[in-house]
Amino acid sequence: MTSLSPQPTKMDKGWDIDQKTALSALGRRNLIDQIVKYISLTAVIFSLSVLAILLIDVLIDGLPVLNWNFLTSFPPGGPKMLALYRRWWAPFG
Amino acid sequence: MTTNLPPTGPSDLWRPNRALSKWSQRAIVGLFGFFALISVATTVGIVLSLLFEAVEFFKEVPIWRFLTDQQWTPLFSNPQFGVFVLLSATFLTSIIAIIVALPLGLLSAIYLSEYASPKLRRILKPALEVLAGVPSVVFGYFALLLVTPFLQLFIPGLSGFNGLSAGVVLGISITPLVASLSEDAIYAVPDSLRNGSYALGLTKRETILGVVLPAALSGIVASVILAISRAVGETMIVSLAAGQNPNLTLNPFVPIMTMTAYIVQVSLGDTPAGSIAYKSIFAVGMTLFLVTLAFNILSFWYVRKFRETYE
Repeated sequence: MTSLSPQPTKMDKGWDIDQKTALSALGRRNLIDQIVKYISLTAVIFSLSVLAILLIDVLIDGLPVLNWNFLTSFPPGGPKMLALYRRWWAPFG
Repeated sequence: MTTNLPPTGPSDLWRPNRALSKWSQRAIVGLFGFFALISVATTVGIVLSLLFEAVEFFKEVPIWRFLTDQQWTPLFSNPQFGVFVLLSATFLTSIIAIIVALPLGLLSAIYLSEYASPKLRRILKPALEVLAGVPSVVFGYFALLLVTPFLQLFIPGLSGFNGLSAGVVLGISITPLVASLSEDAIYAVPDSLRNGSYALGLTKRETILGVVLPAALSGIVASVILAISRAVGETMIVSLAAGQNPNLTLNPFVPIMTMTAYIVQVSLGDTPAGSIAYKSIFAVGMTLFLVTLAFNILSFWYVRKFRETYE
């Protein structure tokens, strides 16, 4: 007997599934399918709701101070940023 | 037969003067090459300046002290330079970030590419990408002023600055990156594979988990590694929300200082140029650069090695 000759396979028992078992298994598989679908939908909704919370938070905190005076005056911490900028360039001349 | 030959003689039609277009072609190629060179030269310049300043630093502080000191106190009179204090903080925030971003991003990608109807997808995908456009400083104060107080409701001992809140928000900020790149990878899996799987009687979930995800694995892993390297290099969120306290700890509830937060602290502080603390930011920057470079190379290598090509 060479290794090339077909080996007898014992699949008979493994494939012997009656329709009832298959259908009940299918029901369970479909249930898991639905669960996975809604879990992945939850992930999208969660990400988007974080975005919504963030935007609402920014608007609540930001809108009251957003006026013309704010836009035209110097930003807070301006001179400090200028000093940082100057120091950053110091080693290059 | 001579009738099929092109007309000969003093006609200019068949030999138009192309000298000018040759020169303009060369000029255009040269111009494009120049612009391509600018980005390469910038990278080289950044690496060289990091390298030179880091070498200056390591002349004063031996590299074994940099790697073995237990504390990070470069501004004290008896300075200690234990980079693992900063590395542990970066590691902690990045791990928390990827724990948040991997399930959120991957599941979002699965929903968008496999379950969502085309109409829903057209709405959800740009909406998720808006999340990627939120400035990181906004994420930072979102973490500090909203997420931390919220988490304090459940975790009483949580301090005002902590790695947990910074890591979670960092994770949310890189979720769109994971989602978008993974979705591209999943979407690129040919339908023939899905149809083959359905033909064998597999359900949609079994097809996704057993066929589509393995086929898209290299793209997904690459997206996750890129997201990690983004998380490692992220600055504003961790500077604002994780604090400025160099602690050698992996406790997510206490203030910590990441590598990027340290660079920000020294850059904004009153450290004189040329001092050891000033030079230390280049050593830290070099470490940071090496870490992200390692991740990017890993991602590149992984995609090359494990990419499945279909059709």
